[in-house]
Amino acid sequence: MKKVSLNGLIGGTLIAILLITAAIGLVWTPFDPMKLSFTARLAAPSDAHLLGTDEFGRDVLSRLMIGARASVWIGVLTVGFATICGTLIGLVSGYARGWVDGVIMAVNNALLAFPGILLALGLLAVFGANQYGIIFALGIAYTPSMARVVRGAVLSLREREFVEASRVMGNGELFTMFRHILPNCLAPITVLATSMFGWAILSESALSFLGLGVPPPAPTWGNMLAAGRPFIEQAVWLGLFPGLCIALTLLGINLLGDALRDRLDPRMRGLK
Amino acid sequence: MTADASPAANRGEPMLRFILNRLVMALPTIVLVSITVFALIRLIPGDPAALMLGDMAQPDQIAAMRVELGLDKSMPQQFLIWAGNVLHGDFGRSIVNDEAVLPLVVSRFLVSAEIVVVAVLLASLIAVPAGVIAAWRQNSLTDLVLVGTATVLLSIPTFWLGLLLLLFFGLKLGWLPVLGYVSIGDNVVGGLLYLVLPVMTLVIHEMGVLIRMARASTLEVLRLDYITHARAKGLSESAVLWRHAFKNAFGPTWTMIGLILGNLLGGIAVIETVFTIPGLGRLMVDSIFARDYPVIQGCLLFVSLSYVLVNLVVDLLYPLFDPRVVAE
Repeated sequence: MKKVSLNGLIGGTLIAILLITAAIGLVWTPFDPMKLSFTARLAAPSDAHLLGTDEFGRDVLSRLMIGARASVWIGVLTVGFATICGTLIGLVSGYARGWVDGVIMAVNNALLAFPGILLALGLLAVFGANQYGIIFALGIAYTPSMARVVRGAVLSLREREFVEASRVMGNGELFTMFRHILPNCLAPITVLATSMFGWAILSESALSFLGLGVPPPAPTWGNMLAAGRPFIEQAVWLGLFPGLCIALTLLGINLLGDALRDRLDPRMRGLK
Repeated sequence: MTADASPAANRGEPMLRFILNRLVMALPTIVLVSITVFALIRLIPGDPAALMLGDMAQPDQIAAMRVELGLDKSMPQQFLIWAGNVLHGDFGRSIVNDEAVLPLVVSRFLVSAEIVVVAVLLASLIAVPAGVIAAWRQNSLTDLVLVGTATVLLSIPTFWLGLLLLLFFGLKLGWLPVLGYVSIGDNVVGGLLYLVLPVMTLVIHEMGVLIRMARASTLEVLRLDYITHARAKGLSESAVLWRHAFKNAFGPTWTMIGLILGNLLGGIAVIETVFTIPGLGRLMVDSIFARDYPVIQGCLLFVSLSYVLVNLVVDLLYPLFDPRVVAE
């Protein structure tokens, strides 16, 4: 049994802090994140407001906690959407082969020919810029990469003896697909889904920063940065903390992704 | 016998086949990308003619637009009419100010491309050698520091990094302009000053990606037998590293550089927003706000086709670094 790598340890800790913060944010925040206070506008970090207040006197820490919740929620739904759709498409495509595979992969490759964020922007124009628009837009934009990875894994797995054995034993195609092929695709799916969680959080905060994401006053890290931007000269903390949250989250995901890849990706074994 | 020593006639034919092959392979992609962009805008609920004309349209204008777009015809025919117009350079007109879409998109594209190309070039020049050195010194302190730094840089979102640099160099030190934009064509020195921060932001971010890529692909090559052989015959470490390992390891990094170029063109909107640069990304975001569908469609098509084109050029130049792909 391999011991946990340094990457995995730091990454895991950062992500655990994110998840715990998001969970605490569900039930408790130091202040009401929406409560305006004109006496406490742009207050510097202090004992009362640990991370200061924003241009409307709202507590930054409380808003960051709610923002963590929004990021995690959007990330999980996006990755869930892309993973389920991409896995099903990849399974069918790789297992059926022939013209079904040809048609599915032609459409898939056309979508992969777009830079992900561009496709998401185009889809946002269709769905409208809001929380569910983002989830659909990013989910659809990420589905093709998942479909391609799963199809590749299925293509090599379906020729293996244990799949043949399942068929010979008289198991149905669907049973073979879900009972024997899918579990063996879980490693590449996990690795990709982890990176996707990072892409989703980054894209969501970028879109919110552009004003195309979750609309204010609901706080997300991206729209807090955008809103704080005109005030960063007087109130550095408004430009500092939301960005730090995004960066630490992404760092955690990247480190965790590296650790997972080292452990799960057979091509990487032997390199270390 | 090495590839260089073989007669030129033998090399010419596979090379030609390689180039033709890649060009022919790009065609279906271009058609599928165009269909996707066409379909995407048609997915928007509502009458496309009314959408194309905006809220102020009169019924007779809408009727005329319906004929122009061929909405009475079948979908494939509509696509062919649209594709025909696009091939003639007619991307339609903006709903907001009736400007022709193509010249607008091209002028904004040049602004974005300037920043992206310079940034990717600089990032590659710094990051690729750094990645190779990290691989060469695998598991040493140098490697750990380089990979750690790369992973941190990769995790900093560009819009936040841009804000921090703006805050530090623009507001605190006052060295560089904070708001606005001067075209480098109008004023060389002034234009350059406005480019420093956005380019620096992108360079720092992309270095993270490229260091890791260059390191990973060099590591794979360093394990191979011919490297041991090169060392065994007494070549210096730097000759082994740069002449033998680097030449073989650069391929995947080169492909990554192409992908980054294309992705940046798609994702540059945030940088342009931070630094108030009137580029293509900003144009697209503004058109999404304004529901200016012809411009959205034009931007989508233009960027996605540039992405396909950039990757095609990267593919075509690949044999310069790795002649083996021609033979396959």
